[in-house]
Parts: sequence; structure tokens; C-alpha cells
Amino acid sequence: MKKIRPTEASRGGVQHWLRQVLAPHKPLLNAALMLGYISALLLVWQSWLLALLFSDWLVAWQQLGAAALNVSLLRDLLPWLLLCLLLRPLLQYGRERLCQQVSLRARSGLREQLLAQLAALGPGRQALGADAVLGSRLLEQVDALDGYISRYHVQRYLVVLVPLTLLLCIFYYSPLAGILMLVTAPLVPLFMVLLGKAAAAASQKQFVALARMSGRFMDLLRGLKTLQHLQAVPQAEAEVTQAAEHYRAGTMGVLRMAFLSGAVLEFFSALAIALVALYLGLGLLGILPWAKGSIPVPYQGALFILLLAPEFYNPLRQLGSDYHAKAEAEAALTELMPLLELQVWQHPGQQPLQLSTAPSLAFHQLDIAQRLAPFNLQLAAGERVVLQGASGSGKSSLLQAVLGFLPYGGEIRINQQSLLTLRRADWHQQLGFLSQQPQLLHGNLADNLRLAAPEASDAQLVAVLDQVALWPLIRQLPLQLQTPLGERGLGLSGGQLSRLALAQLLLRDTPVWLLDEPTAHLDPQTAAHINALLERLSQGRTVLLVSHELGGLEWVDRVVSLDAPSVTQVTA
Amino acid sequence: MSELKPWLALMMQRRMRLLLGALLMALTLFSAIGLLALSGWFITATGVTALLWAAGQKVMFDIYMPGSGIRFFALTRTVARYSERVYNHNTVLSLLADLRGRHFAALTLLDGATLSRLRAAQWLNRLTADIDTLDTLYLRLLAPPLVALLGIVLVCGLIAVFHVSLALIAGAMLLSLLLALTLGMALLGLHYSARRVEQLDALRVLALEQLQGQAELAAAGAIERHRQHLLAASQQMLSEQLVLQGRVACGQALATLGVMSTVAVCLFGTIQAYAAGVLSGPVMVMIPLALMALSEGFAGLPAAFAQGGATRAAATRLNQQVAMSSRLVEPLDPAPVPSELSLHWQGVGVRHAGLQDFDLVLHSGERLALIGPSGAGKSTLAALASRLIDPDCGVVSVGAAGPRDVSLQALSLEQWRARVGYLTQQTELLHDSISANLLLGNPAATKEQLWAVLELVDLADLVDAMPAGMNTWVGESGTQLSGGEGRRLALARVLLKDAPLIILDEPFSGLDAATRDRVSARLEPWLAGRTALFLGHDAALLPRSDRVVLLGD
Repeated sequence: MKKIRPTEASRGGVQHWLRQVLAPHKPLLNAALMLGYISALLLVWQSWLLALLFSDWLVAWQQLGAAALNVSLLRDLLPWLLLCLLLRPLLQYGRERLCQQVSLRARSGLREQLLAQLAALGPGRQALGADAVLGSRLLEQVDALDGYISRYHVQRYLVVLVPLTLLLCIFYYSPLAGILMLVTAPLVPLFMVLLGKAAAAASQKQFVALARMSGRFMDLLRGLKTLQHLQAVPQAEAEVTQAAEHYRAGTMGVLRMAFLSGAVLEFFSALAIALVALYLGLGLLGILPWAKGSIPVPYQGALFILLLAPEFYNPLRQLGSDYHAKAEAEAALTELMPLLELQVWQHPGQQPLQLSTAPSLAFHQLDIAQRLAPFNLQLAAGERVVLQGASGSGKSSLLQAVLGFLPYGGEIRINQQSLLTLRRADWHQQLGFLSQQPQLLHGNLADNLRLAAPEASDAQLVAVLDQVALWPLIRQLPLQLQTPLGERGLGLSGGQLSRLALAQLLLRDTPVWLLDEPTAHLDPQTAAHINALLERLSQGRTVLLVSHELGGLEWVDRVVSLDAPSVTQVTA
Repeated sequence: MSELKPWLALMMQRRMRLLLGALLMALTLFSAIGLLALSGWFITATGVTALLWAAGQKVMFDIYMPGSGIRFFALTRTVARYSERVYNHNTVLSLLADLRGRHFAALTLLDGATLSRLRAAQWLNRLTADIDTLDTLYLRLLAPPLVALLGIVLVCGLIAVFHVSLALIAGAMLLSLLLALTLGMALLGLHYSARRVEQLDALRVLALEQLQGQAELAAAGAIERHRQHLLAASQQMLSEQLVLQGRVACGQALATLGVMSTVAVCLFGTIQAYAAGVLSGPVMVMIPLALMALSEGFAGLPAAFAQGGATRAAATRLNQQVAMSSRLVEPLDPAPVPSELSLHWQGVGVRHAGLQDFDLVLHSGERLALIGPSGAGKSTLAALASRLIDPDCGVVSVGAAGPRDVSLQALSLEQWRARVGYLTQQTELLHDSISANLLLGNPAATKEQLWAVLELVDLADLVDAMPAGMNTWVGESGTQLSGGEGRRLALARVLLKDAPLIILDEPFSGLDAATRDRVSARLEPWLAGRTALFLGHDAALLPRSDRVVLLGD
């Protein structure tokens, strides 16, 4: 069994997290369970009323003739029947709404928890997967819990409670019919579990097949232009057809399993109804081989049992059709668990920080586990320093540590105060950070600029755009500051993107700048333009720039190399 | 609903299969109705007979017919349910597989500019998620209401045998219920279900911003605000989902209520008829039981129709793709490709690339290096030459650089592309073996030819040393090759195509100086006699050229 289900080991953990996610919503779920159970009780009552009515009519007609038909009984019972009629759908509705409400709250809470965890993790999240993968965990995997919470969870209890209750009622009228059902009932879950396990294994394979098909399609789609000029399109078409066909065959395999488990349930349910009907009918005639001449169950009880029989299997059938919801939720939580269980380092500092002028910045025996050997460096207030090193020398880790995202040994001091004692948000307020490839947010130009300074006026935006020599270009656009950016909007070149990011920094006017290879992705000419801007605009700020090349950086005060075994300082 | 027309037409090509599937579905429902109704009739009839016997009357009762009827329905129910499921899913899934193939084929005909309008991930969604959504069209939207309708006709027909006016009343009630559960639910759910994909896409953008831009957002003091924004968008999506779920739940309550009210009305009708002696006791019991069993046919309708908007939205997106056509027009009577391959860009302009009124001649047998910063239009010129795009104005012609030159647009696309070997700036390797990647360049190439081109790009020794050799898996996630090695593999693939006109866009990016020199030297004899265009930032990083043209400011 273990071989088929690689997740077996983590299932305990999955159950734990499912309970954890649902724990705050227990009262609502219990209420939903109550509603579901009351609805089942109403069904029993409704069936009993109907059986009573019909039997009264039949017997009355038989004994007294049609003229004496007891209409007053119908008048007496009708209000109760109507009550059942109206109340059952209402209770059902209430139960569904409660579960859906819980599902919304639980998923919302889980998403918030995951986001907080991801934020606290900082760059450490990369160990858990690419951002696109984490993004889909945040969205699809969290939503994958919906089916489990809104349908499966409560049904899991009802599937025991309701058949047992019905069985008690059936036993009261006919122990034999009760035994008949009792015997078939446990067989059903047994078969379902067996088939369900096989289906779960098959559907896991199917997940892999789907991922493979998507990967294949993605590959071919990305390389479509290459395929076109290589004239390899017919080969690619054949591959798509083949992959699609393979996926279809795989899906059918999984579905056959699922349908088979459904058919087993259907078979038992139909068989039980047929057997009960024959037994009760022959019993009424008094021609049962073992009870000749006697009537084991009178008509009213017989009809009552017959009305309950399909309902006996209904909760099971419902559970069976929602079985995939359970598998889906378990698979999703298995994916989410590493993220939920990861111990996150928290920046401890709480002291406020206020800077009016450029501060000094000191690294004293700074040591980041496995990424940076102990390292000393002092930046005087307003000094501009390049930290040079090959890729893998720990430059990025150092920047992450300065940003307060990574734990470290030794000390980072800002104006003699240790970074670890300061409130991180305050420190971020004083920081300007320019990354290798500046990111555009979805929205227009002004939105992107105001991200950092929400209350900046249009005039201020124009002023900073002018400083980075972007305004002449933007002024010509029909929507000017409102021009949408990104995929559907204005396409900015690498150089323009850097300028825009620089404008963002200027708008915030912070005393410290951290620059992460700001010109690495630009061609030499554009890089020279950006460097000239950086030289002019960074005056009076404390600047730490990391880069693996020194070309175009002649404007800094000092170059420090990270490559040598002990850090060497080179004066520019 | 016109969005769905092309898909319905496509499905109609398999109408026999679909019809048979619907019949199987109907048989499943009919057996359920038959089982419960006949059982009720049987018990009541035996009850009545027993009473008559007790009263001393001699009445015959045939237990075999109803008995075997009950067994028959029980068995049919199981068999029909299973075969219906398997048969219908098989039909629909093979239809979807077929659609995927067709859609990809349609995509391959598009020109580069049209393809660039969407990201690869969006094209992928059309090919997977959107096509998958269409399975609901038959399985949940077309067949079930049809089967429910047949069920209504059957049950009402059964009632009509005994009591016509009651059948009419029940029929009217059930038909209006069917209408409410299908059209009504579709209208109620349309707005919310159609927005779902859109909302999820928007949320994904926000989530990726939050993750990828974490350092910047944090340093800009905006991360908390951005996260609140993301959570608000998520909350919005979830609450709209809750509204939709609420409407579905309403629909389900309505289904139960509708069927049970019909049962109640029929109770009144049958009791009157029974009292009047029109109906026998067993039939009086059978009618409400048949109606109750019919409710199974309504159960899935509310959810399916409330989600109908999603199917419609997917169909709309797919239709938009089908409506996209290539801007590369094939001439009806293609000119033969000239033997001299001098290429002439005359006053060409490409609007989206910012290229205007550009002139350049690449002489036959010449090696020309085009040098310029990124964004100067180098790749656009190459795309024009290989006819991935056509110019908005001006003309690209080929010939002996004279008046008798032929415009590329007058040639057959296939014949022209066969003459051009083009290494794009971006390395595109399939997630497949090294040999499969190479064979894309020339499917008929022999093993010796593959090794020969690997030798040319200095990869032969490396590949030979790999345990799986030529069968080593490469590509996005199976990366066994470094960036520079992948680049050389892509180059080898172009060389394998053995075209007389060769375009190399930054062929040596990611290669160290020593490798660059080695490959450059090995290419010398191969390039002899071919016409070549090299693109890059720096002529020193390209193979040796006869002439250098500087582009841009």
C-alpha cells in the first residue's frame, strides 16, 4: 500500500492540519451537522406520515368501502406533511450555507497565514519552490480545500448517523429487513475504500500525466517561433495529438475506477430495495417459505421501510461522489505543509529609528551561515562604496541581511545602533533599494511611482521623472502619468525601467541607498546613462552598491572586493 | 449563446454517439423510477390482496411478473449507470483531445506578431483549462436537462394512463421547475461564473508581485499595503463565489421543494380519483413514488447551469483564438525561389518594433554583421528575413540584387523557410533528449550527421561523456546543460538544417572566450559559400564577417 501512496507518511500531518484549519469554526460546523441530522429525522417522519395515510386509506376502503374514506385524517396530517415538505429543503439550504461560510473563512484565514509566513521567510522562500509555484499554492491549493470543507466534512458524520437512525426505525418494524440492510451497508464502505484507494493512486498518476502534458504543451508553445522557422511544425502537431490522446487514455483509466466504485454502491442500493420489496410483498401475501400463512410486517410498516430504503444509501452515495474532494484537499495540504511548518526567523528589533541625515553604516564580523565568511566594512556618513565580487560570493545574502530578511552573526550598525535592535519597518523607511531587474506592478505609471509615496502630488511625480530624463518621453503619451504599464500597456526598455525605478527612489528621498547590480542587464551605452544619473543623484546619501563588474562605476568613493579570502580594499 | 454554436456544431459530428449516450443516461433514470414505483405498487398490491384473502375472497395474484420486473430494474440501473458514465466520458474526452490537436495546429499557422499578443502561459490555458471546461457542455448542460425532460414525459405519461388531468397539472409543474433550474439558474449565475477565470488571473498577478517584488516592496515600505490589497482581492473573489454557491443552494432547495409540491398536489388528486373508484390503491401509491424517484434527474441541474457562465467565457476565449488569422499571406501562385540569395530590405517599416523606412542589402555569399544596442531592431530584421513577420510597409526581396528580385511575400512560405537557418536570440530547447532537440532541425538526419554538428559546436566530447549520451534529457526542468552549452546545442540544430542563408542572433552569448574562439574557427569552413547575417552588440563576439553595419543612435 505504501508504494502506491507516497504521501502515506505525511497523512497524519495532513489530518492534523485539516483539524487545525477547521478548529476555529467548530461551532458552525456542529450547527451544520445538526441541521443535516434534523433534516434526516424529518424525512423519517415524512415517510411515516405517508405510510400511515396510505395504509389508512387502503384498509378503510377494504373494510368499509370507498364512501367511508377517511378524509379527516388527511386534513389532520396535512399540516405536518407540509411542514416536512417546506422545512427539509430549508434545513438543507441552511446546512450548505453554513459549511460554505466556514469554507470561505477557513480559506481566507489560511491564505492570510501563508502570506504572513511567506513575508516572514523573505528570500528563504526560494528553498520551497519558484515564485510561480508558490503563487499557485497560495491560490489553487488553498481553494482546493473548498470541496472538503463545504461538502465532505459534515457528510462524514452524517454517513454514520443517518443510516443508523434509519436502521433503528426499520428494525422496529422488521428486524429481518433491518438485518438485510445492515449486512449490505458495511460492504459498501469496504468496497468504496478499496476502490477509492486504487482510484486515489490512479488519480495521483493522472496528476503527473496532466503536469507532463501541460509541460509538453508549454514547451512547444514557447518554442513555437523556433519550430516555425525550423519547419518542425508537423512533428510538434503529432506530439500534441499524442500527448492529448495519452492524457485522455489516462483520464479514462482513473474515471473507470471511480465509476466502478459508484456502480458498486448503485448495485447494493438497487439490490437492497429489490430484496426488501420482494420480502415485504411476499410477506404480506403470507407466502414466504419460512413463514407460510403469517404476515411478518403489516402494510403500513412495509411501505414505511420501502420509503426509507433509498435514503439509507443516499448519504453514502453523496460521500462517494465527494470522495475526490477529500483526495484533492489532502493532496493540497501535503503541498502546503512544508510552508506551514517551516520555522521562520523573525527580525527581533523594536526600537524606533529616525534619521535626518545620511547615517554611517558598519559591518562588524558579519557572518551569514554558509554564504558569507566574517566580514568587516565601515561606510562613513554619505560615503558611496561598491562591493565587488563574483557570483556566489555572498553579495545578495549580504543585501538581504541589511534588509533585515536574514539572520546573521556579528553586527550591522547604523549610526552605532545595532540593526537587530531596530524596528525593521522604520529602517525600511530610510532605505532606497534598487534591484537587478526592477519590477513593474500591474497598473499605470502614477500607481507605480506612488507605491512608495502614496501622497505625492502629480507635480512631484513630474519633477522626479524629469530628473531621470523620462518626462520628455512620457509627456508625449496621450495618457501621460495615467499610461498603463506592463504586458498590455506601454512596453518599457530595460533602461527606461531602471530610470523609472530610480524616479521611485528619488520620490522617497531616503538617506541610504542599496543598489543591487543596477546596470547588469543593460547594454553599455544605456548603462553609462544610468551610471551618470546615479552619480549625480546619489550625492549626500550613504550608498552601498554590489556588482560583479566595475565598468562605469568610476564615480564611487571606494571599491571593496569580496572575492579575496580576507576582504581587500581597493581605492578607486 | 451564439458563442457556443461552433462547439455545438462540432459535437454534432458525433451525434450518434451523443444520442446513444443520452439514451443510456435516460435508461439509468428510468430504471430508478421503475424500481421505486414498481416496488411501491407491488407492496400495496400484495397488501390489498392479503386483505381480500383475509376477507375470504378468492383473488389471483401473479407475483412473478412484478417480481422479475423489480429484479430487472435493479440490474439495469447498475449496468446502465456504469456504461453511461464510461461511454459518455470517453466520447467527450476524445472530443477534447481532438480539439487540442486542432487548436495547436491553428496556432502554428499564426505569425510571430500575432503570437506575441499573448504569453505562452495564456496560450497554454486555452489548450488545457479552457478546452477542459468545454466538457461540461455535453455532460452537464445538454444531456441532463434532456434526460430530465424525458423523465417528466415518462412519469406524466404514466399518470396520464390513469388520470389525464392530473398528468397535465403535474407536467406543467415539473416543466416550469425544469425551466427555473436550467435557464433561471443560468441567468442567476452567469455574471459570477464568467468572471471567475478573470479574477483568478488578476489575483495571480498580485500574488506574484507580492512574492517577486518582496524586497522592493518592503524597502519601499509598501509591502503591508500591497498585502492588504491582495487579501482584499482574495476576499472579494471568495465572497462572489459564496454568492454563487448560495444561488446554487437555493436552486437545489427549489428542486426538492418543486418535486415534493408536485407529490403533494398529486396526493390530493389521487385520493379524489381513488375515492371515486377511478384509481386502484396500488396505482395511488405508485404515482407519488415515481415522482419522488424523478427528483434524481433534477439534482445536478442547478450547479451545472449556475456555472454555465464559465463554459461560455471559455468558449468565447477559444472563439477569439480561432478568429485570429495569420497576417502572413500565402501567394496563390508562388514564384520559384531565385538561386542567387541576395537579400534586400527596401524602405521597410514595422510599427510595433519602431522600425521605419529601413534599407539594407545582404549580398549573396556575403557575411554581414549588424551591430547595435538592444531595441535597435536587429531581431526584427531577422524575423522579416525568415518571414516570421511581414513588414507593415516597404518590401523584403531576394534575387541577384537587381530589378528582377522577387518579394519574399511572393514565395511559398514553406519553400522560403527551407532556405533560411535562423538562430534566435533566446535559446529554445524542448524538454526532451538531445537527439530529439537536434532532429527538429532535420528529422531525416542520420546519427553521423548529428555527431558532426555537435563536433562543430564543440559539444561532441561532452555529450559522449554523458552516461545517456545523445539520449540525455535537456530543457527547462531537466537541465543537464549550462546556458552556454544549451546555446551551442541550439546552434548545432540550426547548422543541421543546412540552409544556404544563415542568420545568427548573438550566437555566442553565454560562451567563454576560449570556447567562442574554438567554435568560431570550426564554423569557418562550414560557412564558406553560404550567405550569412550575424547580429549582436559587439562584432568581436561574432564569427568573422566581411562587412559590419552599425545600427541605432
